[in-house]
Amino acid sequence: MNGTELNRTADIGIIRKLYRDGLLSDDALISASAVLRPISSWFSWARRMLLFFGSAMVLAGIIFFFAYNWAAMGRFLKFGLIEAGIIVCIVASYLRGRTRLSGKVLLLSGSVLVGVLLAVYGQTYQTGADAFELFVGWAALILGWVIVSEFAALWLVWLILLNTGAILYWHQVGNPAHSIRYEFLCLAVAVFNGAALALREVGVRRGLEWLTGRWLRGILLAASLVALSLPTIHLIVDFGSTEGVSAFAAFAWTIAAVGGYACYRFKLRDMVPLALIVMNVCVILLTLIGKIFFHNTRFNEGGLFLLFALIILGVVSGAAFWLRKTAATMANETKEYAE
Amino acid sequence: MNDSITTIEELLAHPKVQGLVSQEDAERIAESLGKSELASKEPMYIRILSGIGAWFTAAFLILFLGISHIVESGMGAIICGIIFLVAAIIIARSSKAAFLSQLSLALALAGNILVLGGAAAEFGRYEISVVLITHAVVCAVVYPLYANSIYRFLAPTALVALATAWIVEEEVFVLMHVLIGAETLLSGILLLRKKRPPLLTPLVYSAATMLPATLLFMNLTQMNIWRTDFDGPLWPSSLLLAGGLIYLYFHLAGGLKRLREPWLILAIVSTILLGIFTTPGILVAVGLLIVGYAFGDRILTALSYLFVPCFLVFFYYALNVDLANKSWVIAGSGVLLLVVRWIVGRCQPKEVAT
Repeated sequence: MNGTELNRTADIGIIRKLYRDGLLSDDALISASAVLRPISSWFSWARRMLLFFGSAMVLAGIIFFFAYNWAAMGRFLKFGLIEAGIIVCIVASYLRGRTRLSGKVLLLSGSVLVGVLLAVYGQTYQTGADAFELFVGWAALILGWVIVSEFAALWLVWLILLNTGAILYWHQVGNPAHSIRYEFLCLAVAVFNGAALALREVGVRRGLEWLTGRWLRGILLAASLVALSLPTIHLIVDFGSTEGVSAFAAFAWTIAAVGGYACYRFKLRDMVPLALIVMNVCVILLTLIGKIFFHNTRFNEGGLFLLFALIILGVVSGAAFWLRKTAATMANETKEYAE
Repeated sequence: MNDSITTIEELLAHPKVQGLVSQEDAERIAESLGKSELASKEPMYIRILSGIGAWFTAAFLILFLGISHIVESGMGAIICGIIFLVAAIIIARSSKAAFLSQLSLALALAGNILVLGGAAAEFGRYEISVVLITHAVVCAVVYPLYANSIYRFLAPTALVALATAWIVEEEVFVLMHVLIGAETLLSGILLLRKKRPPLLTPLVYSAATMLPATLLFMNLTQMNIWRTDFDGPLWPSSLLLAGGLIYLYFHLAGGLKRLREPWLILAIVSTILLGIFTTPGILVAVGLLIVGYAFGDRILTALSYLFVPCFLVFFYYALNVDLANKSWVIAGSGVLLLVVRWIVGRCQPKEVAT
């Protein structure tokens, strides 16, 4: 037997592929599947799914209940019920323990109910507060629980609240009252999410297991890049209407793209963030080329469209080629390092 | 024996598997794994990048043809489209270079669109039935010849979308159930088929995507926000899908001989209840969730995560009760799921509990 190939990690996908290729019999497939996916793993999986969907539906039901009934309910009943819900979730989370998934989900549920409480408070007392204050206040109030939760999903919820608060602040106060340009908002969002990403990477390096899910890395990187791409594209498309801050945002985008490449190519070695960065670069590059081509050009010049089609092909195929080559190089480097 | 299997070698040496895989088989497996590593399929992010790039290129190619008046009639578009399709197939078969692969995909997409547009224009009436039949023919001819997973995913997907549009146009709601039945059968056969040639893999994902998408669309028509005249009973689809889901349980469990297992009985009863009390889309989403986990397929799992909340929202939105009672139904359903979770925990066989 060739030891190298058989030392691969066994997973159900490979086994099924071998079966489809005719290399495993029906009985071998069933037995191998039973070994890799024993009945206990199915039970664990089913319980996780039922917990996730059951909790989400209970929370949704509570939110809808208050959405409909709050006009008819007395204010103390409203507050009492929500606060009781929060207390039950937090106490139950404490009793279940932060290390268990059910404990974490209960903490997440309690955190969501804090938002419900703030919304009901704002509606009941008609404080006149802007919507951004609800989100920022919500984020501030649950920060302690988020820190102790050791739950990446709750951190993501917290970041979403912060981002939403920032966007609403700009929309309701920053732009109308202080004429703050949207580029500053984009920079703020990029800084929030970039800082969160950096902390996530540091956390993983320090052994925080609960942060190892790569999905969070992809979401935070995409959020940062998109936030910086918007003013960059605006700078390219409509240079005349932009100010210095747009150029700064474009510079920040460049730093983020180059820094991200260096980090995920040489330090953390992950192709998915590299692919996100490359796609982002393709969009910016094609916007720039498109602007150069079609600016001050009559649109009935069909040849420009053909040329631009070929340029798109060139840029995208170049990006795909580079990604394939980088993936192969990184795989070889990893093998050499392992040997 | 340590039951924590990490490598294929350990798996093949496991007592449950060892007697079923000969030395020769193991060597063939090693050889196959070595070959598949060299010719490993393209990562998803490259396929997404290529697909998006090809779409934009195709759009600009078509704009070029229109603006420069190269294509001025329906027949001209059809001829141009066929030329593009043939060129795409030839380029794909002659070179694997990145630029030429992208070019062939762009030509295939542009060619397909030109043929459809040309056929619609040539017949003068722009009827969906013409476009549908034309695309079915193009798809049937090009699919086996053009070895590109992105085209092989998009073409059948577009075919189903056109079929749905035609059903809506002709206002024959009952045919939605026929379409859903066909999609269910195709998905089931392709997913559970013993030996599946690689060229059918994109078709699997196309079917797995279009089945819930079709049901989602059907739900939209039930919500009185669009085409209120286009509605009908959902029970035929529920029946089909519940039957399909139960068949899936038996297939994964190892056959009818497992019927006495309490967890299987619970799963069958839950499926029947879901079929009676909820929308058919929830059955499909649950099916995708189970298949995704059983086969270790992240794409199917991601599809299920996307569609389960959508169908749940539609189901509760469409309930003919006020919001107050709806909130009780939703929360009650959530509590029911948590109770089922507790029951599942109690049903867990002790001898294999970890």
